[in-house]
Amino acid sequence: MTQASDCCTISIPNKLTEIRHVAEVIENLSVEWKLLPKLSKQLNLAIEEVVSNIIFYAYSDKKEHVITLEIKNQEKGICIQVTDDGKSFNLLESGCEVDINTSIEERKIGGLGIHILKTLVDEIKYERRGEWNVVQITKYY
Amino acid sequence: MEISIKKTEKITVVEIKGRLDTTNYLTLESNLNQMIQEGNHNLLIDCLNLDYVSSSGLRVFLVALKKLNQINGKFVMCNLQENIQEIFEISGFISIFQVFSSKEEAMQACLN
Repeated sequence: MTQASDCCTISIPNKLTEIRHVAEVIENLSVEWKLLPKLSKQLNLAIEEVVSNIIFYAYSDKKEHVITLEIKNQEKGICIQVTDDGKSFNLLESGCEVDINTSIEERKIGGLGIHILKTLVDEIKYERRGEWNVVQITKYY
Repeated sequence: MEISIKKTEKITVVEIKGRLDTTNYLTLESNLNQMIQEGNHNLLIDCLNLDYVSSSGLRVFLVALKKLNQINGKFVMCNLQENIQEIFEISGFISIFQVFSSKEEAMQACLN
């Protein structure tokens, strides 16, 4: 982990258990940056949804891959960039639209994570840079 | 995450404490499945000390609700913290789950 006062970069292997590690980093940064507990939990959730989606679906081999997170404390809010070398996946065009008004019987199990992410954050950008997926999310103060 | 189970004659109260996320949702899923298989068809989930839920945890709740609905059981929740209430609203879960602000109300709903 590298950390300047307003920026922190961590690299994690593509293992679900690493989500706890990321949560700890966010919690520590939230204290350092004096973020409101509500914002801290929202960031935690947004990152978990992005990272777990990568770990579940981005890789078709069983090799270890590295996911890099760059967390920045900016004037307008917190910006998090997540980079992975998995298959190309634009979550903005994922087609996982969730209809939150359907009945229990018709309610599908999947797609919730991306729906929550899109609702929770203020900006999402996706870019395929060579072999890399780069997702940038921003949550305003 | 800690799960504690208290059985009364008609209701099984499940208290979930801590963080329910992608690293531990399978533990809750298997606990709930086992409870349902053992005949506990009136489940009350007390979220008083549940601090965090991600979509993996929400899926476990949805699967359990669907199972219990099919066998005329009850899946009732209470004491959601503010951030979890927000996630329930975002997901539309607030309109498909029976959610109460007190355990007493939830127990009553479980018995009706």
